[in-house]
Amino acid sequence: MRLQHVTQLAAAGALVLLAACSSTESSGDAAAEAEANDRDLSATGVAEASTTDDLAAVSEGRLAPEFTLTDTNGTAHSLADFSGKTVVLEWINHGCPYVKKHYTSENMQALQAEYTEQDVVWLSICSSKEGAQGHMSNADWNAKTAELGAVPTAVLVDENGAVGRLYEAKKTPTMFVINASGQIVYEGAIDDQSIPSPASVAKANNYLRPVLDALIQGEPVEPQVTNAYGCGVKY
Amino acid sequence: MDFRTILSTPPFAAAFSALTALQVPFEAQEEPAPWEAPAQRVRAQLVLDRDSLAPGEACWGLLELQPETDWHLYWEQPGDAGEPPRISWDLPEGLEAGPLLFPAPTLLREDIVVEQVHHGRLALPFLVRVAPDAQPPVEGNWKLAADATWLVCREACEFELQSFELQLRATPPQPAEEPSEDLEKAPLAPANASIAAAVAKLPVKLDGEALGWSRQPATASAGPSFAYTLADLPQKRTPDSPALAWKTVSRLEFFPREPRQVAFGTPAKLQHTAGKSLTFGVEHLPSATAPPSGVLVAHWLDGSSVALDLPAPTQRAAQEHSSDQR
Repeated sequence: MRLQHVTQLAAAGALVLLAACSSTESSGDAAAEAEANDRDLSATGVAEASTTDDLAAVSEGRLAPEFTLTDTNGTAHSLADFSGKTVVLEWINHGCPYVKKHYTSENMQALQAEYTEQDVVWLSICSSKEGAQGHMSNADWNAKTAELGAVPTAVLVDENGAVGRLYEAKKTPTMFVINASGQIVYEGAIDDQSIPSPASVAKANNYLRPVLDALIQGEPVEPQVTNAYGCGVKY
Repeated sequence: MDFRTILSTPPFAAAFSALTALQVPFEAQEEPAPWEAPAQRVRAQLVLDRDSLAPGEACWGLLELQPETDWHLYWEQPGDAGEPPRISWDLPEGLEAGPLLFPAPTLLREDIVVEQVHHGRLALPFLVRVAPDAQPPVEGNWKLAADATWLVCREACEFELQSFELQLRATPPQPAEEPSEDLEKAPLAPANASIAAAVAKLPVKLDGEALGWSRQPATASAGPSFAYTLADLPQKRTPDSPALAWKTVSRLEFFPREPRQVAFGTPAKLQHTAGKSLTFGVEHLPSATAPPSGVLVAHWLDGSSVALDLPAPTQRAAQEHSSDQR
């Protein structure tokens, strides 16, 4: 399944962006904006109900929320540190069967290596709370990362879940791609194979590659959202 | 707690690796490779209602899943996270299996993650049909092989796979009987009591003709919403049960099937009820384009409830009722 662009939302794109930001505004503004959004979508006609495979275009790519997290070596990293670079956020939980699939098959490690070599910043973020599946001590994290041969730029520990909630990361694995201007241009599944068998990776259509390759080439990328598969983030 | 899988057949995972295409009726996924995912948290069994079928006939089957205490399984639309039980079939030429059919789920909120789940035993009926022109196998028995998979979670999640083999004796076609039409409709009431009970628990399908929708702009108390208008409501659960008092419904829950239209766990607000009709509203997401299909559960104060299966409404309803009316 190739990424498709849902063009019927293009006309309402600007309003969609405003509506997507409305959750941070006062309720009065949100209501007015939503109402404007409502009228406009009615005027353009209503598209068919989306299926679980449908891809929605989020017109301009919302700005990636700023954050600072400490990595498993005790170093703090802020998203702002990577301004001007393409950044991948990979929500991770090594206990989740769907994350395991990508690491057992070495798919994730290969992606990390290939793209960090091309100056993409790759941040693995774990929002599991202490005591929950996926949470580990820094020492255990480093051992696990080494054991798996994973090569992200950093593994960031978000044990109070603040960044996960900021990004509304709900399952692992969920991938975000942030362009050099700090906009989220991809959010969702790593690929289209929602079964956790490592062998399924070979037949998977990887959603990240076209986005990252385009950004590296300096080509424009229309923001997209897909439906991720996986286990719930253990807040 | 130790679990023994009951009615488990020898694992066929190795046999599956040699097979090429599997018939997966509701999803275009290929069969999983033989990797280890033993069923440890869930006892599973797969049964058919009949031990023989003739060409043109259909029968019910049941995938029964019993998770360990406190572990849950997922509805066909799991919500913000999770994966539902699935069956990947390997069927002989001429046999077809319908999708797993689910009872209404319940909502599980874990921080910002809202899931549509099943607690406790989950019984999933499905239909198996033999095509009218199917050729019975030489040895007289059709062999059906199935890989059942599911994600089962408590705080942690585990993915499990169990393989089954079933057999159906092929009997000659019965000219007097009408061939069953499609796998969505029950050809016969199941004889097996468990299967019958599971089929009886399925949400009652509402006709698309009886369903309309409209958009409601934001008000002081609610954001922009989809309003669903249901006409021709079923008046009884079964022919023998008492009449359903739609006018006194106390609470509604709506479980969307399609994602990204209505957030999972959005309250369904009852706006209007009469004897045969009902209107409810659900706030939709900013980027929503059309009201999703889903299951509506109506609750009464005495603890009784009824589940309705709503297709995605396509007909615009006249906006008779505002979101603030009842």
